[in-house]
Parts: sequence; C-alpha cells; structure tokens
Amino acid sequence: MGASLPPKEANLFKLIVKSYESKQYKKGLKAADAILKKFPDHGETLSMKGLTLNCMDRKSEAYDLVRLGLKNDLKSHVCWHVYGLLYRSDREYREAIKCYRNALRIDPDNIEILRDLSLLQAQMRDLTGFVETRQQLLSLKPNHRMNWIGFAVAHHLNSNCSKAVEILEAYEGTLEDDYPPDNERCEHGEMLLYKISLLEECSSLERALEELHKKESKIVDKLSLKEQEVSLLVKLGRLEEGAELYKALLSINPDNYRYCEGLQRCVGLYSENGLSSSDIDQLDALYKSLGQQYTWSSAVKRIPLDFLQGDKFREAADYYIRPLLTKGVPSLFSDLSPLYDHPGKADILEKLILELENSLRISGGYPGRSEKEPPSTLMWTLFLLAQHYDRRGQYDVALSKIDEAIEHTPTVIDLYSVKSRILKHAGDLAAAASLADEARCMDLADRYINSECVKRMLQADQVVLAEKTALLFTKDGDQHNNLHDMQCMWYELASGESYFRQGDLGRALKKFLAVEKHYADITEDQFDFHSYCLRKMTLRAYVEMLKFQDRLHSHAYFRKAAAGAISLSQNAAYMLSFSYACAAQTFSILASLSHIFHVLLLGLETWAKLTEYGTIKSYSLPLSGASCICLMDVSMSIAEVRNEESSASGVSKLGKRHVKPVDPDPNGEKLLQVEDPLLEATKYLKLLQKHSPDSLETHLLSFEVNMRRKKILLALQAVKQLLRLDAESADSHRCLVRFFHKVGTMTSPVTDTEKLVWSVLEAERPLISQLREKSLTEANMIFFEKHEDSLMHRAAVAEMLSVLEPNKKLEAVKLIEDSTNNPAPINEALGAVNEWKLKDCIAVHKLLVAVLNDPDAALRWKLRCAQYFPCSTYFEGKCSSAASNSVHAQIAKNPENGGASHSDGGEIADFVESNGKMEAFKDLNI
Amino acid sequence: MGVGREVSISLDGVRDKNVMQLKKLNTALFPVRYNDKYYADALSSGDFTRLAYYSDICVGSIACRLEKKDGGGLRVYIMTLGVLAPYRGLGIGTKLLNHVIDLSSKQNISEIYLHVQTNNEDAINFYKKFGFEITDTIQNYYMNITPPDCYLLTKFITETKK
Amino acid sequence: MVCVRKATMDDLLAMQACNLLCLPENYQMKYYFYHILSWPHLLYVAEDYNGRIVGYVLAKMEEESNECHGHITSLAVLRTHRKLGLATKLMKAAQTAMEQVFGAEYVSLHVRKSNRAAFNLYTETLGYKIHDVEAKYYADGEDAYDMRKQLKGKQSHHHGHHHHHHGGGCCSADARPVEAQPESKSEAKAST
Repeated sequence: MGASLPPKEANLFKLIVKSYESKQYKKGLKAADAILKKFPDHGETLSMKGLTLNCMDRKSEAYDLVRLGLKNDLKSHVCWHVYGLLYRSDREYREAIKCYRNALRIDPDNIEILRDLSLLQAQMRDLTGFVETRQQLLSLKPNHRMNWIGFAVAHHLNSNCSKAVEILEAYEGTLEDDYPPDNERCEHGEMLLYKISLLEECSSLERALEELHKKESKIVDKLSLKEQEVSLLVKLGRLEEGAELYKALLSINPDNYRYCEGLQRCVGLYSENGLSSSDIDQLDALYKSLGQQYTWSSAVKRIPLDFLQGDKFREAADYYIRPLLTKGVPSLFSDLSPLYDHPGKADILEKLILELENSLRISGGYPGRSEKEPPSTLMWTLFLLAQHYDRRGQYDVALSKIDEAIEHTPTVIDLYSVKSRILKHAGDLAAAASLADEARCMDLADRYINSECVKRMLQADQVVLAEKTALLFTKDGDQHNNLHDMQCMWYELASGESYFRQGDLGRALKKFLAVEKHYADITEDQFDFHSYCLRKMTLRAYVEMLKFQDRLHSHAYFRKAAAGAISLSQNAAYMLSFSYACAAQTFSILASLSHIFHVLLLGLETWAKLTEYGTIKSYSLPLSGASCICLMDVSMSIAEVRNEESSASGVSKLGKRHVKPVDPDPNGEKLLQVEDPLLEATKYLKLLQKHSPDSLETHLLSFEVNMRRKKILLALQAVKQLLRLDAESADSHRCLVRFFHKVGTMTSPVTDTEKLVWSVLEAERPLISQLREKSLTEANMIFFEKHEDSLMHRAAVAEMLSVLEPNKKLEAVKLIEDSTNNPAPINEALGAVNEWKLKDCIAVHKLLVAVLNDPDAALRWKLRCAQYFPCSTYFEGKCSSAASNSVHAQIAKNPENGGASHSDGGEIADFVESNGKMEAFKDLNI
Repeated sequence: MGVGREVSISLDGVRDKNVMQLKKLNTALFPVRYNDKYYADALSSGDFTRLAYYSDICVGSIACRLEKKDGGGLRVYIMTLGVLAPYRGLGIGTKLLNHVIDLSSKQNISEIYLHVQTNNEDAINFYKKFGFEITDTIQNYYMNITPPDCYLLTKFITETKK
Repeated sequence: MVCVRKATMDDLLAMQACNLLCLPENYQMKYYFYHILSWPHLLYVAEDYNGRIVGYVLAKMEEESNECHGHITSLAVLRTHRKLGLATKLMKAAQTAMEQVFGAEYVSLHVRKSNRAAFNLYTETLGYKIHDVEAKYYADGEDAYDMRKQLKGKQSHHHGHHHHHHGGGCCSADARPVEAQPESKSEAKAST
C-alpha cells in the first residue's frame, strides 16, 4: 500500500487508511490532499480519497476519483479493492465481486480481500465460490478458529454436510483436552450442537446421538440439548425413550404444544386425518393424566377439544369454558374458533353457551352449581356469544348480544372492539371505525387499541384521519414518518389498499413499494451477520437465518404488497391503453375486457376522479384520443405543481434543507409514470411465481398481466397452474374460458412465432380435460351443473355466458337472479347459517352493473341483498350508517366520540349530580 | 367460585389518558352529562378521585373536588360516588368512600361534604354509617324532580386517634 | 390456550408486527436479527391456537459490563390476550435461559413510571426491585424505572477446578455489527 511513495507520503497514506477505519473522514481527506499536492496522479491515494468522500455523502465525486485512481494504477490491488468496497456500499454486489477478484489476481493471498470476498459470496449465495474462498482463508491462517468454522459452514451451505462435520472434527483435534476455558463455554457448546445437527442432517443419527451423549457436559444450552436428543430418538424409532424425554420437556415447559404433539407421535396417537374411536379414548386418557401432572398447563386442557366428538366434546368444552368465563379471558373465542371448522361443534358450542347464559340470568350461577358467579361472568358470556353469532354470520343476534354486554358493563374496552368487528363483518365500515375510535378513547395510553382503530379507519377509507391517529404513537410527530422507518408494514399495506380503492394510484403504489423496500432492506440486513455469527458461533441460528432469507419473499405481507402493485400496474396500464385506444370505444366494451371486479371498478373511480380535475366535462363517450392524452398530461402537470409547492414549503419551514429530506414525489405520480406499467408488474409477478407458486392469486394475476401483454403462452401457463391448484374454483373456470375464447377470436397465424404458438395451443387444448371434445359453451354449462348451488360459481358461469354469447345477457342475468340463499347444508361445519357471504354478494352486484350492464337487475339485486345484510352500507341496508335514521348512522356521523361530549350547563349538572347519586345507590345493599 | 372471594378490588387514579372510563361510568350511572369543569375538578383533585376495579374491570368511581374554606384550609366535596348496578353489594362503594376519608384524615382535611335528595334513605343511611351527619337542608335544590329538597351531609374529621 | 416456546427465525416478522401493534418503542428488523443471532436462547414467543404470534420477549446479555447480566429489551402481549399469564411465562422462560446458559448474575429492565400494570407484574409477580430511576429515558420525556432481579449466577458451571474469569465471564465481549444498534431505547411493557 502506498509503496511507490516516499516515506513521508507513505506515512500519510497509512493515516488515510487509519482515518477511514476510525471514521475520521476529515482527517483522512486532509492527508489525501497533502499527498495529491505532490503526486496528483497517485492512483491509490485518489482511490482512498474517493472512498473517504463516499462516506461523506459525496457519491458522484467518489466514483469519479476511484475510477481515476484505478485508471492511473491498474496493477494496484488497493485500487481494485477500493472500487469493490465502493460498489459494496451501494449494494452492487456482483460488480463488487468482480473488483475483488481482480484485486486477488494481483495479490492472491490478501487475507482482507479474501474475507471481504467471502462475505459477498455468502450474501449472493455463490456457494461454490464461498467454499473456495473459505478454504483459501483456512490454509492461509489455520490457527484462527473462525477460519475452521467458516470453512465448515461453507460446505454445509453448499450441501455437503459430512464434509462440514469432518472439518469441525479436525478443528476439535487442534484443541487441548481441557478446552474450553470458562469464557468460551457457550461458544464451544454452540459449535457442538451445530455439529450434532449436521450429523442429523446427513442422517448419521446413531453417531449424532453418540456424540451428543459424549459431549453432554460441554453443552451449556441444556434445553437445546434435550430437544436435539428427542428429535434423534424419534428418528431412530426409540419411541419409548422419546416419550419419556418429551414428558421431561413438558415438565420444563408445559405450555409448549410441540412437546404435546411429539409425545402423541411417540405413543402412536397422532394422525393428520383423524383417529379411530379407541385411539381417541386412549388419547383422552393420556391428556387426563397429563392434566393432573401439569395443572398449570393450558395446552393439555385445550388440545382434547380438537379430537373429542359429540357428548364427550360437549362435556370437555363445558369444563374448559366455565373457568375461563369466570376469570374473564378475552381471547376465549379466538381460542375456540378453530373448532368452528369441525362439523357439528359450532352447534354444540352454541347450545352449551346459551345454557350457561340462561342459568347465569336465572340463578346467577352455572347450571348444576349452587355457588354464584361473579357479576362479570354474564358479561363475558354475552361477549362470547356475540363473537359466536358473528362467526356464524348472524350479525343481528351478535349485535344484540354485544349491546347487552355493553349495557351490563360499559367500561370494558374489548366489548367495543368486538362490536366494531361485527359491524365490519356486517358491512358497515364507517360505524365500525367510529366504534373502534370509541374504544381507543377509553385508554389513550394503549397502542394496541390505537392500532386497531387505525386499521378500521383505513378499511373505511378514512386515510387522513387514520394517519393522524397512528401518529399519536410515533415519536417525531407529523414531520417525520416514523411508521416507515420502523417498517410498519401492516399500516403501509392497509393504507395502500385504501388509496387503491379510492383510485389514488400514485399514493397507493408508493405504499406498496414502501413495503417492497422493507423486504429489500431485510435481505440486506443479513450482510453484517456473515462474519458476526462465525465469531459469535451462533451457527445454527445463522444457517436458519440464511434459509429464512431465501424464502423471505413468500411472506404474506410481501405477497399482498406485490399483488397490490401488480393489480395497480395493470390498472395504470389500463388507463394508458385507454388513453390511446378509447377513440371509438365505450366504457362497457373496455370494461368487459377485464373481470377482476375491484380492478375494474377502481379504474372507473379513477376515471371519475380525473374528471373532477376538470379535464373532462362528463362521461360522454366516445372521446377523441387526443383529449385523453391531454388528460394524462394535465394530471402529470398537476403533480409537478404540487411537488414544487411541497418542496418549497419544506425549505422555508425548516430553514436548513438537509434537516428533513423532502419527498420529491409525495403523491407517487412520478412512480406511476413508467413507460410500461405491465413490465413493472412482471417484475413483482416473477417474485410471486418463485416464492408463492401455490397461491391461486399468483396465477390469477399472472393470467391478467399476460393476457394484457398478449403473452399467450405465459397466460396458458397461468391457466394450467390454476387448474392444477383448483380446477373447481370459479376463478380458474373464468380464466380457462376467457383464454380459449380469446384465442378463438385471434386471426390466423402469420409469422413463425405465431405459428409456433398456434401449434402449442393445438397440442395443449386436448390435454385439458374440461375442454375435451367440448365447445366452450358446453364446458361452461357442465361447470354450471356441477356447481349450481353456489352463488359465485353461478356468477362465473353467467359472466362467461355473456362473454361467449353476448346476445344471451338476459339469460346470464337470470342465472344469477335464480340463485337461492339456502341455509348451508347440515353437515357443514358452521351449521344452520345462510350461505351467502357479503363480499360475494357485493362482487355479484358489481358484475351486474359493470359487466352484464343491467341496471335494473342490479337494483333488484341490491334490494334483495339489503334484506340479507341490513347493516351493509354498500347495499344501503336499513340498519347501516348509509340509511339516515339508523343508530349506527348517528354514531358514524359524530366524528367525536359519543361519550366524550358533555353538556354545557355547568350549574345544572352540578345541581342534579346528587340525584344521580341517588340513582346509583337505589339498589345498594350494604 | 363465590362472589368476591377470589376477585380482587383495587383503586386507581384518573388521568387524562383514562378519563373516558369515568365518563362511561357517569353516563351509565347518572341521568346527566357532566361538563368539562366537573372533569377538570376531578383530575385536579389528584388522589381524591378514584376508579374502582373489579379484577381488571372498571366498575365504580368516586369523584371529588377540593375547595378552599373561607378561613383557609381545604375541604372535600364529593361530586359523585357510584358503582355499576351488577357490581353493587360487593363493598366497592365502601372501599371508595373509605379511601377518601382516610386520605382526608392523612392530609389533615377536617371536612367532607355532599348533597343528597331528602327521600334517598338508602344513601343517607349509607353515609351515616361512615359518620356523616345532616348539617343542613336546602329547599328547592333540584329543579325537575320531587322532592326538590336536599340534605347537606357532612363528616367532620377530628384529629384524635393517633 | 397459548403455546409458549422459543422463537424461531420465522417468528421474527410476526414479533416485529406484534411490537408495532402494542408498544411505542419500535425497532427495525435488523435489531431482531441481532438478538436472535447473538442470543437465540433468550427469545420466546406466545403463539395462539390459530398460529398467530400474540406475545414475545426479546432479551439480551450485557457484554460490556463486569458483571455478566441479562437485560429485557422488549416484552409485549397483545391486549386481546391478557389475563392468560403470558407475560409471566415469557419472562420466566427468558430468565431461566439467562441463568442456565449464560450464568447471569441478575437481569435488568426499564419500565415507564406510568405503566402500572407492567410495574405490578415486575414487582409483585416476578420479584424485580427498583434499582434506579432514569430521568427522561423515553423519547416523549417520561422517566423510566431501572429495575433488577437477582439470579443464581454461574455457580453451576464449576466442576472441580477453577478457571480464571475474564471480564465478561461466559458472555465474552464481542464486537457487534456496527449498524445493529437500535434507533430507539429499549423498553418493556406488559399488558396484564
């Protein structure tokens, strides 16, 4: 380093490096300038100066200097290394790897560069490269523990477990007998556990167990040791010992369900698909004995409810529920809710809880008991019943129960939260939000009810209010978006979805991309840990972390954000294509191209919103293409004006510009202005296809995007995936029919590519059983006959009928209107409940309006559904806040909390207060 | 499980973060909506205003106002005392009132008073058990109810037992 | 009702979500990684019957100080899942691990002065004592109680002969990733 310089400057150069490492950048810069004064072309100094500037936020200068330095001294490994570091700091890892490799060509044994390279290889999962580099490091410095461990981990990651074990054992061979010293016991124990888990992974189970027993005294983490041991015992089929060990683990932590499950497996009483009745009896006996042993365990009490049936279930449920109601455990319903998927249990629970309610009302105690219950038990029972009826879709009963509970004890916040949830399910989002706000006001110090309220506000599309409410709990007030910094993804998703519903595509996209950014940051987070964990020896956790990172993008939040961004890009593309192609087309024709209802309607809403900007005076169509393009321009210029305003105010208010970076695109308009939104959509689609290949939504989105992009074969792929996942789903059916209908209307192939596509289609179509020797119309009718009892399937068939034979629209409408809202079949888990779901009915209404284009039928549908869902604002049901005189309407209209307001007449209030006191004491038994 | 046997009753203060609990109680208990001054007085009375919790459920309250006496010193005016109907008979009212009496005596406050309608015998008897006496009768204190008269109940705390 | 178990990598996102729902002190994902990759034994979660994470404890070992001790970085239980004793179970699990794996002498935590429910949990149920008051510890200006509970320490480690103790004892001092430091101060809160 700095070798070509005279001693004085060489020392200065060392100072630059030291200053860089100790983050004293100004000092380093001074030293660099001192050298450059005498040797202005000195490559390594130029490079180091660049690297230093990079840390001082002078990025473009940094790149210029580093590149210049390299140009002046191509043979310097320092220059290459620095260039690599620069790329690394910008997360350009592939470029950085190239630079490091060049540096190593010049100086192959440079440990520092090798180490940096190995980190990047781990980050990029260049596993063969990682193994090589770690090997080199080990051979250069075999006396470093970290190099042994690193080499072993590299082999493990590269799927060579046994090699990894060999290396660890060779490392152990270098240690003294009395190793480890006291201060390394933890690390050494971790290493041993890692080695044992490696042995398990490569199926050397006997050896693993042997090793575990041999090294037992050196492993500090006794809990992991036992868990590892039991796992080995079970795999070796030594079930009796396994069962004993599981019991030992249960005595350490009786609340770990996994131990219970393990124990069941060991005694042969575990099955995913149900047990025989004698097995059930045995299992019941097992849990009864466990219950006596571990009286504090909640697991051993709850689990039997899963496998018991009929009278035994009833008895166990009764025994389980009573003390929890007495205690007032608010999560009781959520705990029981999985049982609602078991046939018959919902009915049993309903009868049971009603009996408890009745007895509490009459005698103040449980049936068959002479003791009185605390007064709160009745309230908690009503609370449970309300949630029960909510789950069954009987919202009116649910509301009457929760209202009675509130009347009984109006200070319990949970009651308001649950009422809010019922109202949401019943279809009154505004009332739900105001109830949640009422709950929030009852304990302003509790962030959970604040969060819940924010969620409800967003569901009701009150985005501004929601943000104001959320910011009550973030530190920097409204200036700084702490929610984003803290990666509050649920909030960003929910507000993105709300903007999307409201047609504010720019802001929606911004929120979705924010979530995507968090995922990118999380991927980035692993970087520092590649070396950290090797030192810390937390190797099992480290390897788990890498695996976790590899499947990170299958996480639900990412899926939602990506799906949102894709739908939105389609929507944006739809607007674009609209602006080019709308010359002679009417809305309805365009509309029928799309079938995803929300996308479609949002498109309409966006359109409506744009007209409010004043560019278009009415919906009168057709418009000229030119005026549409002009519309796009205007909305863009609005964006620009707004941006200028906001940045200007940012400067004036804050004085110093750099205090808070001003968002140059607060409304996301720039984000929307991509050349080809569908191409953007494809980017996210690929991630979904890779990480969530078994989700219907992934392939539905893929179908839509590829149809729009006219990628016929990719759309076919999507159809095939849909059929593979669920051929009976209404959505799969829709895509199948639409696809082959579209293909059927295409002109004959001309180009070679088209001919090739054509031939693939011809080969594929007969392979799809639904279409074998049938026309699309026939296939549609067969699907109808198969699913005539299901509303959503009928709707899909009707929609396809109108696509296939546009003159049969009336028939299609009739298909929908003839559907009956039957009570669900008796053997369904939920029991005697009407089948139709609110969201499905809304979807059908949108279909009638936008696709089937039949306003009369839509109105009839709306009136009919208003009967089924009296709280629904969408259908303007008589109890909803959309109906002017309903109770919830009054709640919803009062933005302040109902209970928060008070009368002004102070004197009067003072006068009557003693009267109030009298009321309160009327029944007082002292 | 018998009533009150295992359920703990505890008292907690009123702060601006939970004042809505007091409002909810008052809405359920009394036929009036209290004004801002009531809540400001309650909040500024500090430990004299308390919420009563049955397990973790807020079921009752005592709200007081501290008043300066003419000759200096303080006296306590009980604005409201109430317990939700289902939770009466559990000694919660007693606990609330005792709290105020004890606190007054600790702070050397010698007078606690309140108004009660003349026909409210239950309440009058209740307060008498704690050493309150009828010290005055105010005619036509109430406007819309009969009888319109009220008693002034006062408890004088003397510094004796120490 | 609720399963209490050691946290896995897959729980971290849910722990972060739980923290953001319940508490005003929040951390970026990297801080959770830092915890689980340093002291995987000290993170526990409460998982309800639907597989949802409804509570967690995030704890660490203090490695700079002379006495080897644990620290509770954050504890949360969803309001909807109170009264199940989850906070107690989570805390006890983390404390036990500190004691057994690291031989911690004591465990410390911070709690808002106004957080009565949490304070009661720590003092009455778990046996913590006020060690100090840290003025304006929280971003909004509130004071914190610095609380401590004595643990058994590391006597169990010694069998026969004595090893020399280094400063940090078994939790040897080690450099942490530079950026893994949290933005905000830690806190613990329990909904009981």
